[in-house]
Amino acid sequence: MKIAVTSTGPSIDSAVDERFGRARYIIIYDTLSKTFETVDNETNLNMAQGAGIQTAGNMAEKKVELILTGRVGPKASEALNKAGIKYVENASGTCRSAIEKQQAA
Amino acid sequence: MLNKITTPLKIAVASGKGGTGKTSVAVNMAAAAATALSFLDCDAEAPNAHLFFQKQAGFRADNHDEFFDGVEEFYVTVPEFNENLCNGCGFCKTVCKFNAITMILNKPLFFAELCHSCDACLKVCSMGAIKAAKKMTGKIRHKKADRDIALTDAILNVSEAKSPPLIKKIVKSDSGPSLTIIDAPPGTSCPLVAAVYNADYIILVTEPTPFGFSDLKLAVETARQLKVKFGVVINKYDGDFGDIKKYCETENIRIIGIIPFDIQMARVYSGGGIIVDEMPHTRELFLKILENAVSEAVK
Repeated sequence: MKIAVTSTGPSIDSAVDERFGRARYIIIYDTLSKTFETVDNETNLNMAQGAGIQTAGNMAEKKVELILTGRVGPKASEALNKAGIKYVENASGTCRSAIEKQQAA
Repeated sequence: MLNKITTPLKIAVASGKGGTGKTSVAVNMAAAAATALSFLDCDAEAPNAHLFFQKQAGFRADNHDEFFDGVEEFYVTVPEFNENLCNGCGFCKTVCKFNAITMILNKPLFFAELCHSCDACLKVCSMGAIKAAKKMTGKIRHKKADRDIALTDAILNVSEAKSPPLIKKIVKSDSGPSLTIIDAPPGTSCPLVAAVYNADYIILVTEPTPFGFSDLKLAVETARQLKVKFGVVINKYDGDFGDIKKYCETENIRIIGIIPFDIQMARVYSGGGIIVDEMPHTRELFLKILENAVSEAVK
């Protein structure tokens, strides 16, 4: 299963970025291989509008199944629902701790 | 002097900051003009100029549509997607400069509120999966000349975010015989630009407050970029110009009128009244502002 966490930095030990569509980076963690991939989200970060739905589209393309972030806006939420991607809001701490907390739950 | 205008002339009233007195200045200049003119209320998110004219004409404030002679619906083009014809190429998403389309599981997902009706997606779809549909985003209302003033306003539907197409439409279709007064929306973004871009002169109404001054500077920058002539009216002047007068001198901007802070004017305005009618001694003041704007515009 692929879990994505919105991140302020490129490492899994970076702090969680509370923004979804305008997150600086997105860390995608694969629970099977226990490896992670970093997605640079700068293009979406600088968009005048529609950042959330484009980020959601990218997550669908990456076959992410679960997203951990601060908050998802209404349009991004609609796009994620359409893609069948679940999300958990109010994530905090580092990306690693957010993933561990989620796996423990 | 106003009777001598021979070519169509558009005078816009704008401000940057809301609440400085755009509509007060625009409506009262129109009422003071005593010449045939066209009045465009371009504040499509909250048009209110008609309230003053309708009270003057004896209509009740809650009966807006009856006051107008004609109401037309305004439509923009939006794409309509047929998923069955779509091959999932994603070209529509690529060309959309407004990020209104995303691809989810190889199918387009469209957000109408982000769409700017540019039609790019319609043009690039090779599968015929996108068709042009119409969306009603607002109304345009006309009132035939009453006391020399022909009023047109635009009213955006509740929940719609984009007023510029609607504003452009009334500005473009204005066939004012000689003089047109444009009551512009507040701010200095797209709605304002749509209202004033082809005006001959912009009256920037400001007030001696820090916000009024700050937004005046933004409005000046906007007018300069649009290359439209402009001057400043200081409203609610209470004996202290703040930094406005000095700024105008430094920037070589002409102050074409000063309206004193007057509780009676505020009272008349709040009651939906036309100040120059209820306080006849103010007629000269508003007329002078308009005449100054006209003579600067034709210079």
